[in-house]
Amino acid sequence: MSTQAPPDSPPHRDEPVSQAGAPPVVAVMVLHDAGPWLEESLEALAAQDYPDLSVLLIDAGSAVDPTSRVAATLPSAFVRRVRDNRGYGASANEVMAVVEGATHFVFLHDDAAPEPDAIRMLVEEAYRSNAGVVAPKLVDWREPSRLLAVGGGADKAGVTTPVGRGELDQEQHDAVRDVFVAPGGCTLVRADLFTTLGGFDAGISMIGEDLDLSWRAQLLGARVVVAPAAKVRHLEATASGIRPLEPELVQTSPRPIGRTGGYGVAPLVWRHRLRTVLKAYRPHRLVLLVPQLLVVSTVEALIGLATHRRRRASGFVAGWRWNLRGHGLFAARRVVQRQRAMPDRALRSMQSRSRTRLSGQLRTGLQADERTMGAAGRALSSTMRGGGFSTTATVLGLLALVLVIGTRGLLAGAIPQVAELAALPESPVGLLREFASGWRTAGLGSETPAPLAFALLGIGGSVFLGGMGLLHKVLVLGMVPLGILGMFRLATPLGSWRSRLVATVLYAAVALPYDALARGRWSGLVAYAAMPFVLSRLLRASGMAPFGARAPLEDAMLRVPATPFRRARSSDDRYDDEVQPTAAGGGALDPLDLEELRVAEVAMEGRHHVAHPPETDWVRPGPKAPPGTVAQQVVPLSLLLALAGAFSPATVVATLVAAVGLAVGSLATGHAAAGWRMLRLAGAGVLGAAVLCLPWTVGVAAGGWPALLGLGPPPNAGPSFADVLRLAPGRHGGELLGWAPLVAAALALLVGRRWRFEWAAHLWAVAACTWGLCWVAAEGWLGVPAPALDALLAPAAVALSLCAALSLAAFQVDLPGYRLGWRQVASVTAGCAAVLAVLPLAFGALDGRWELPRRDFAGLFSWMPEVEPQGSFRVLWLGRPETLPLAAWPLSDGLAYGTSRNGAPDATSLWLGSDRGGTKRLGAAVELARRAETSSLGHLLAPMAVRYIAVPAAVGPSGQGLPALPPPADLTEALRAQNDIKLVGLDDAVAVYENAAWAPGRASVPATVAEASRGQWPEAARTTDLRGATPALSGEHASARFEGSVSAGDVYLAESASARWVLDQSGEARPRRDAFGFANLFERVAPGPATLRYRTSPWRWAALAAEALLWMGALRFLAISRKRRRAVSSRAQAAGTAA
Amino acid sequence: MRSGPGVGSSPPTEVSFARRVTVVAGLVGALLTGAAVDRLPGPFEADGGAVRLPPGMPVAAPPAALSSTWYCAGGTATVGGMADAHVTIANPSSRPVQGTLRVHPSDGEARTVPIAVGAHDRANFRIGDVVAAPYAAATVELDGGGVVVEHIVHGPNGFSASPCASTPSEKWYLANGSTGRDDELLIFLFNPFPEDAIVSVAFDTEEGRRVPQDLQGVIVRSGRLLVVKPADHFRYASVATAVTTRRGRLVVDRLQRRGGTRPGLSLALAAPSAGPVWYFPEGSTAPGTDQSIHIYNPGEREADVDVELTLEADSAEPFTLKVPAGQHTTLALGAEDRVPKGPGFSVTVRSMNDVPVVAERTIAAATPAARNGVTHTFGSRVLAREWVLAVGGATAALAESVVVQNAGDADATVDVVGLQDGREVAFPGLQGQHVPAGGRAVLPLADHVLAPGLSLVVRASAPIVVERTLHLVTGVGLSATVGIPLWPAG
Repeated sequence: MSTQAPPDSPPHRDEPVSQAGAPPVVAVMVLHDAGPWLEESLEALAAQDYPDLSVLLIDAGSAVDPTSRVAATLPSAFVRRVRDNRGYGASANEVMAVVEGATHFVFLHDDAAPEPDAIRMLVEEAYRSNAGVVAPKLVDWREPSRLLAVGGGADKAGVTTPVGRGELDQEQHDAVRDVFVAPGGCTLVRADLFTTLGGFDAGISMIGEDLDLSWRAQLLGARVVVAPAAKVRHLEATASGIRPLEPELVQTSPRPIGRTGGYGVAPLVWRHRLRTVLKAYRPHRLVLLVPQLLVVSTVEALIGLATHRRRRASGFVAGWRWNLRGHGLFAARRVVQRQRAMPDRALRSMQSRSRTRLSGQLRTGLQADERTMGAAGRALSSTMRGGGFSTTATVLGLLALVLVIGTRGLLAGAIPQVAELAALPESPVGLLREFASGWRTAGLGSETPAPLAFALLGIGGSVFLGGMGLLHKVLVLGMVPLGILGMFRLATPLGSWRSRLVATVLYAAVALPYDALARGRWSGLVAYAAMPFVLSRLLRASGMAPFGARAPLEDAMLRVPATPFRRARSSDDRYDDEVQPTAAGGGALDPLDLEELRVAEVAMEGRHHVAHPPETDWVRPGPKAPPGTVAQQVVPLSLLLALAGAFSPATVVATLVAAVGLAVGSLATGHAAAGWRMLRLAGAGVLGAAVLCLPWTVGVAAGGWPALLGLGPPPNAGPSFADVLRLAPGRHGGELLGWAPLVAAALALLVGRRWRFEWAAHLWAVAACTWGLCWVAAEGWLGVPAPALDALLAPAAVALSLCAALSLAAFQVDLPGYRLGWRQVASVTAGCAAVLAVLPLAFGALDGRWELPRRDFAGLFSWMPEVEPQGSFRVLWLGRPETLPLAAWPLSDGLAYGTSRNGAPDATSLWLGSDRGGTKRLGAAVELARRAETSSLGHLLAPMAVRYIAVPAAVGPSGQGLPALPPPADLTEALRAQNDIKLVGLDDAVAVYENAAWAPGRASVPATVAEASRGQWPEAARTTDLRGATPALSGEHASARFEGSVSAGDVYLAESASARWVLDQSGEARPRRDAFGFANLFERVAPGPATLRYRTSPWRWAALAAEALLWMGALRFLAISRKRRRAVSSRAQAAGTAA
Repeated sequence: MRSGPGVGSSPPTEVSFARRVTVVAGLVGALLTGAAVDRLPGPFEADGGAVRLPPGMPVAAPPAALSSTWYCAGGTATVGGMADAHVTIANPSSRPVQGTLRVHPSDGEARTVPIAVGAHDRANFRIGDVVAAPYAAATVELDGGGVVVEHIVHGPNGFSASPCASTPSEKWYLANGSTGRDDELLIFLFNPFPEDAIVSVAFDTEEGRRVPQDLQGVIVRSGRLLVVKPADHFRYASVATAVTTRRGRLVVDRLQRRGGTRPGLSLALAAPSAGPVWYFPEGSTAPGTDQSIHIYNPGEREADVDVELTLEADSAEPFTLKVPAGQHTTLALGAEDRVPKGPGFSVTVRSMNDVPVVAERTIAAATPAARNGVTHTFGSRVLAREWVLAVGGATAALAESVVVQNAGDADATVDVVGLQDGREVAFPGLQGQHVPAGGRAVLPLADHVLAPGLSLVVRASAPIVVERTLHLVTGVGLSATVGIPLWPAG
């Protein structure tokens, strides 16, 4: 159906479209649910000075008939309505059916407004250059001085590169030249060529038809040129998401994605580009190209999967599937190949190089689908958009290279089992069993819930197909990159790729993680990795820009018009208090917005089809998504804290400290409400994490500060205040250069304005609170054992790094507003400091293992399992906490103790169990010896099956240049004064004593011993000789289940007393009683096979079920809420657009 | 909690100068405060802890101790042996203790006998009654603390008492000894511990360092006693000895038998470590008495040592000695003019350059002195308020004196009580004795009590050093021994 408005008679193919002398030209504008911009486009057409121009508007199934709108503005135009929206190309092809006699067609989008002479210039150039296709200069709709495209290039894979995109139009591209692509929006095509080509490819519903048409035209031998004298403003309403995509046009994306509120454009770009390429090339070219495209799409899909963007990943697969299923591809290809007059190699010379393809591929893939992107993709995409792709890629590549170099020794070899880097158990199933059993083996064992980490590690080990070594390596070495990625993501709202780089690089350069690695502090690594993500959530909850608030798109468009920008830039590239740009709404315009706008837009090189619109708020600092409802904030944070806290409980405390710091900063800057929100979220998150970790949480709480924070060096040997400030509690971190991050971070406080200053104050408050707590704790002023600082310092590391990024933002934006003075000097100093801060990282990478020892105690103790057949035993570890390869209970004077079984400890010993039951007696025995109150320590430890006492004086064996961390002097004296233990010479860095009075942990004992065990420890233990005991039940099937033979009489079990220990013989449980007041003795045991096991409490099973339900519920909620939030955002976008 | 984009957000505002100054000043102030406080001594850096004993020095375990063990290395266990050994256990605590006496003969298997000592009582056990062997050592294991153990040897050349060791050590030093023609020097290497010990013995003689090859890497098996006779290798009038274990632990005693014109028998527990200060309460150069101070420097730097005399009246300039590394030197006080003849004095040996040394004293007495015999004594390296003298007694034939040196800065009041019949007996005339700071006092026991076997407890209001001298009224027999402090030593 065609209508004219008015006159209402449509153009007929038998009627000339023009009676003038100039070649008749028909402007073909395809409409579909045109927005308010349509009138402006029509007015532009009405103003054309070309003498013989007819206007045909093809309405592709708009919901509302646009005829009246057209008639009101351009009454001379013809309107042809098509019932269905078959896409831009198919709709535009209607022109071939209804128009005859025209020499050229000018295809326009309904959001394109040509300058009055634009069509004339295009026609003139078509004749002058004998071009088949002529493209105008496309400029920004609102800011015509900003280029969108002056023609475009494409590489062999069809990845396009618009020329001049984002640049200020200074006529730098104003030369008529051949281009490979005439970008859509406004394109003049010779009518006969268009007809010969069969018009646009009807299979390309939208996005990509310009590339296809240009490519086929050139295959036919036609020139495609750009005529910059013709200038057209273009809104790019669809590509930018202002106008939602039509679902029926984009079958590759069956579910709503993307900021468009409709369907993502990335799959469309990929799908149609693939179609064009598959049509255009000769078969032998395709043989070479298709594998490359497969690789690219596979990588893209994998990236999508890795970043939890499954739909995006599926889009790349769907693109192949869509094309291979046909949709006219093969027929269209036959036509193209039949028509072609040019060989592929002739076109190849006109195509771009591969680097363009790669970057374009990344841009195309990563930019398009902003809202659905995972953290990494979103971060990277933002960087691309900001125009710092090359720099960002280079810096991040260098950073990755440094990390790889610094970690090369660990990547290639095994992770030494130093301190908390103890190896994971060999079997993930064993971990899961121990998690479920309810019997903790730490110390002398206790009936306390196992850490959630056991379950997570067990599940992780299963995912790794039992490759626990690989899992261990990933979990240890992956923390640093993960933390860096988190920082990169955290800095996203700053909106400046430079600031993000500064934050990222400085966070990568702080000594904290490498120091933690060198000392084997896994908890520190976990906190380093988790804290950027945690703070990201807290900062978003503030509701303060840029982390917690961002103006809606419409507001931004209104609030940041072009005028103030030009005004700001016109003041000699600087502004001051007197020349402050203002927003159209009358409010002050944020200088950084303008600056970032300039930076981003100048450098904006994204492919125009999928690029973001030129609205100024695209580069306006702010979050990518609103924080969501209370539950939507709390649940993810709780999950995050539960995961991190399961491995490093101190992370939870660090979160609270950070929240307190943020609240203090809020008070200082007059944003008390924001501080309260952050504090509240942190508290709720911690509470949620505690609930998710139940019932282990109860055990941690019962374990007190040592279970929560770990143990650090004794107060006199702890880090100094300066060490704490430099985030270098150990060996890493240069004495002088360690101060550099602080200097860099200070600039924002001194010169920052508005939110730069406010957030700098917040972050410095976080750092100050962190430092304060760490220092006070390290000095022992909290009245509890000094904690390990690695995890607690993580918030300060994040805060300083982010503050340094703010410093750069302040340098970029605020500093020009000041007159020459000390601020400039401070800025230079801060800049130098930021550069110098990286040097320790580079130096630290040289040894290839971040000073982590090459040998470990596990290697020294590798012989111990060989003596296990003599009976199961324990190793009692005594020393300074930082030297112990397990979680330890504190004694006096900075001494700590813990136990391992039958050799060096594994990772199950890294979480402190309860010291109730018999475990406390281990420490009591040691303290007796230290107070010179016994000379028979061996006898006291014998009922606990302690065969060896290991006293490390460093984190690893000697000969590796490790710092000496000797135990308290009186310990060595006390041990050397005992007459029933002997020194086993192994290594200078660890004294190993063997208990001459030792007895196996499961043993058949003589009646005399059984009788003596009725007494109480320690008196009974001192006088009882257990050396007559013989090992029993040697088969260990799990940590709490043993089988084997026993002798007649009594069987002693050196585990904390519990009625749940059962010794079965022929289905009959033997009577059990307490021995020595803390252990177990099974009486009247008959000789022969027996089974000893711990009966898990039904309450434990119930708790496990509840815990599983909690986790499933939380994860389910997370998934649902993410979907809902996307939907809400999409609707909001659509509503905004409609408004 | 409200939520959503922009909820609760405040519009960006300019930062006022006052706010910026407040924030920056607050932060800088906090950091400066932290830095200032960091320079102050922390609560754990203040010196207020308990006085720590020099490593290896004999000390009674705390009264509440679960168990305590003493090691007595030297002596013979044959009838008519040159040093018939006895073990004396003094229990000044208020609860009885039980335990075992395990005797390790130089050949043969060890034998264990149960023992018991009442509260405020003493017990004496003859080693030869448990085993018969040329030499024997003993381990006394008790089920409580607050008990001290000494051993005493008797022989034709007199008698001598010495503390047993309460802890083993990996190094032992002897500053003096003689392998002269009429002398016999025995070094007892006792290993009562579970692991074997690998031992090397080196000597510093008048002709320099001697390292007999067959005394290098000697294995002393667990539970065994090895007796070294240096005279098998050389004969010198003055020998210092260093016993070092490459592995394991030991207890080392020295038995010195003197012959010739001044016979005597002297038993001493070797010094388990060197130290900067040594106290010798007893001192005399009365006619017939020779007193020498032997200083051994087992370290690797030369030691500048002052030998200070605390006279009962008058004063004397200290002697300044240089002791080369690895060597020993002897200061014969009797030959020095500045040492008054007759009055008693105390001696303090102090290393002025903090190079640890070992100091030992020899008293050789003969007619016309009231005492007759030779005794070698290590000084004390610690001051304490409570001392126990397990061996002793005052009879018509045996004279005992308690010598108190107050080397501290405060005057001390000293009480001497005896352990008799399960109770503490405060002897009249031995209570409330005033010892001024820097002074000394000699308390003859016979003036106040006569008891054949009497253990003493000396308590003072300020840290002091207590030494006991025993000598036969007639005949050869002289022993001087520093007491054993009770825990805590301070």
